[in-house]
Amino acid sequence: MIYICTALYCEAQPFIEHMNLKKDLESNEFQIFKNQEAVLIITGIGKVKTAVAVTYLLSKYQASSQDLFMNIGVCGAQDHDILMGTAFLCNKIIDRDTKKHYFPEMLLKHPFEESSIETCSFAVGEGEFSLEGQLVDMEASGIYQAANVFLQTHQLFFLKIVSDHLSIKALTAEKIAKLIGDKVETILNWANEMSPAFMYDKNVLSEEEEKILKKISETIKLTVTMEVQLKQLLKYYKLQYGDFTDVVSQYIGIECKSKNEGKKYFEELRKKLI
Amino acid sequence: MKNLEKNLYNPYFSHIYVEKEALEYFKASEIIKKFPDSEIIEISHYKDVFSRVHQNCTIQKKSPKLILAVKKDHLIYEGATVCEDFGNNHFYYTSTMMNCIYDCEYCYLQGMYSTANIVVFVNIEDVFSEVEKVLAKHSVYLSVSYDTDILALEHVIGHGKRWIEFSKNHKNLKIELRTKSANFKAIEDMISQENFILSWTLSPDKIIRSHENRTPFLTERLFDVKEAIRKGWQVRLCFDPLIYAKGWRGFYKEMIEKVFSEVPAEKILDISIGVFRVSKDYLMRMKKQRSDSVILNYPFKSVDGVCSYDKKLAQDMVCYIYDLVKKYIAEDKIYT
Ligand code: SF4
Repeated sequence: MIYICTALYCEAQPFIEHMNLKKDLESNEFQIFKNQEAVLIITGIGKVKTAVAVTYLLSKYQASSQDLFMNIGVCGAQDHDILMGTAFLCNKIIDRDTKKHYFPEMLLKHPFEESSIETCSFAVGEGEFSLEGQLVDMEASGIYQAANVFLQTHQLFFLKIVSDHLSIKALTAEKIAKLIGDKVETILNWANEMSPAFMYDKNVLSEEEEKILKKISETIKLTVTMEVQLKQLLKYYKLQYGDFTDVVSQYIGIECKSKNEGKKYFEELRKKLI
Repeated sequence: MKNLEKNLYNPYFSHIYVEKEALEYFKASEIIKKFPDSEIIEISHYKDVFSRVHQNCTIQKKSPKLILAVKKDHLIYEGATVCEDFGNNHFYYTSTMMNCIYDCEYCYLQGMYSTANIVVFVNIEDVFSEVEKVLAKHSVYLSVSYDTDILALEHVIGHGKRWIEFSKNHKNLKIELRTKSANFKAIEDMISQENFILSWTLSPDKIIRSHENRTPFLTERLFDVKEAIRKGWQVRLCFDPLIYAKGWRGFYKEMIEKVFSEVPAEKILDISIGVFRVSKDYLMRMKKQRSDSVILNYPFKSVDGVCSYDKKLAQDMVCYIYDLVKKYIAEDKIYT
């Protein structure tokens, strides 16, 4: 699953249209759009609002280790040489208020420029402050902190498209939608290309094998600790020797009258599995 | 799959994170110059990157980053009790780097650190001063490639050579540099020192191939062992950790025979033998990172917080290797 969060509707609109996302009518607190592969939330502006929205999104949809998360939006750039519409993948996020720094992973190749971004609690005009980040926004640090509670660092991506040089007067929703719209295909193609990096199955035992474990544990009356030990043994056997069903099948239908008898069977099994 | 990964992941050290303070050190600029295509990112403290929460070491191993920092405290440590001290009284170790470029499935560093990124401390001179303070009190046996493999990155970092030079002027200091690399070339122009031991950890190719990702094969390590001996270095061989796997007797025997058919046994300083062992807490974290590891999923026995094979198996393994080794090496040179 790809999770996308944008601050404004106009930033989301190109994705909603391109991916044919449908509004999730069950969500009253935030505007959420989704399809089979992606869920997009419109967070509103500012660190706190976005942190709440991201928390809502990732807990409601039970984000997992195979998902990827993208914060996409427009930003200001200090340097006038940076062209409007340039897309950046942020490698450093600076929180202007707390002076804390956050570092999204840079493991994967990508077709964007890279830069640092400084998150401010208010709109910053040109020359008002000296800024540490090359880019400026109002959300990234809040989003990073919230999303990192649910997801690992390598699952988080911060994509910012330059919309101004710290003067937002002339910015309209249409202009923003156009700037983002020009990058939608590049972003989604990249997300597709990198998805294999997130496809790893962490479970050694299949659902069927977990069921076998449960059955044995019930029949031979294992304690919780012994069941944990048996699970470890089955995992080990599978990784070292392969399928264990033949070794354990005789214990599935066994009649076991007491815990003591169960212990005996457990010891027997242990010896067979190491 | 390998090709797909190559296209997907950034190259090693595509990003170098540098503490602001470290930028002032010559070593930092020397290292940075070696990576002209890398993105340099300034940081306040190495832990801001190294110790982030919720990192995934296994994925990071595919594209590890370099972090350059200034070491402020704990410049040297007294050796832990689980470490073999080879009969030396004042055993210390130091980490002028943290983490390793290799990717061994059973590496305890996965349990110790929450990341696969590598920290290099650029102020090795401060570590030298600290060692000198201890040397003023008594002799020191110092392991310098402890939570890392210094020689594996010698061509980039150069800490190995610095330690060799340092040992030259401190005769009551004995240094051990342990490695799995085949990178002796990077220090071959140095003159061997009586008080500097080069130790190679050797494993059977079957273990290397399946569980010591990115490390050189046995033949390559042995080539370096022979070169080092030829150039007069003190060489230690470590059959440690011994790893249990189906048919272990066969492939360990094959390895020992290969080693001593190539290496002049009489020139070996000593040998260490030990089975895989790791603290219970580390093992728990290691298993989280590599839930499908056959080595880590072995049903280990835990004694006093240290997990290892049960006593009988551990003894079987050590004795078996010991018996093979003693055909070539005097028993007083074998440490278990
Ligand atoms: S060579 Fe040593 S330090 Fe490096 S990954 Fe392997 S076990 Fe860990």
